[in-house]
Amino acid sequence: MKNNIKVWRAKNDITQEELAKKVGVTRQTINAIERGKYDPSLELAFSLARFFDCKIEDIFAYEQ
Amino acid sequence: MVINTKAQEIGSFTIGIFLVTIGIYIWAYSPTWVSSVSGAAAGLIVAGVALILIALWKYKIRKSGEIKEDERDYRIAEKASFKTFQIIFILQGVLYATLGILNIQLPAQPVVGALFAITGISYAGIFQWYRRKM
Repeated sequence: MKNNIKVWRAKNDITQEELAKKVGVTRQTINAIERGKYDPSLELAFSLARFFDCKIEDIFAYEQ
Repeated sequence: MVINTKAQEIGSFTIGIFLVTIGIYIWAYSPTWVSSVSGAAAGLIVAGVALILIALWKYKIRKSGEIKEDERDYRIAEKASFKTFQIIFILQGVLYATLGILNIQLPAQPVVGALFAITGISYAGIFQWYRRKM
């Protein structure tokens, strides 16, 4: 799964730590998602989309 | 994912107190039905204290509002548990077969102790490995 959370973070001028607090996870989890090491749950993906006020597909892209 | 941490804390704390109480009872009264008083008492007290400390640590984190654990940690724990299960299952299978074939009789307590230690060490090691990988 590809994602562009880093881009969305930059657009919103927010750190990993701040984003983690907003969506209720640890900074390590945000970091792992950004590095493509961890695929978030649907719940977390929706939380991120809601926070950035966009669709899940705008953040995450499934690649086979 | 909804995890009732409060219920977990209460459960862990209660079981901890129960184990410590039984351990102190065995240590103090040395009942005849216990063959190894020091081993049983130490095991129960250590396990009980560990559960109490875990419950108190989780309570402290919950009260501070800090996020120390999240879905990634639960996923890592799941994976580490499954891998540990595989290791222990294979190890026990091999041990059981070897003991059966060679007709070796081992004292139960050291064997259970060794399996207990291997389970704990495997889980901790695999958990850390997945934590670095994920």
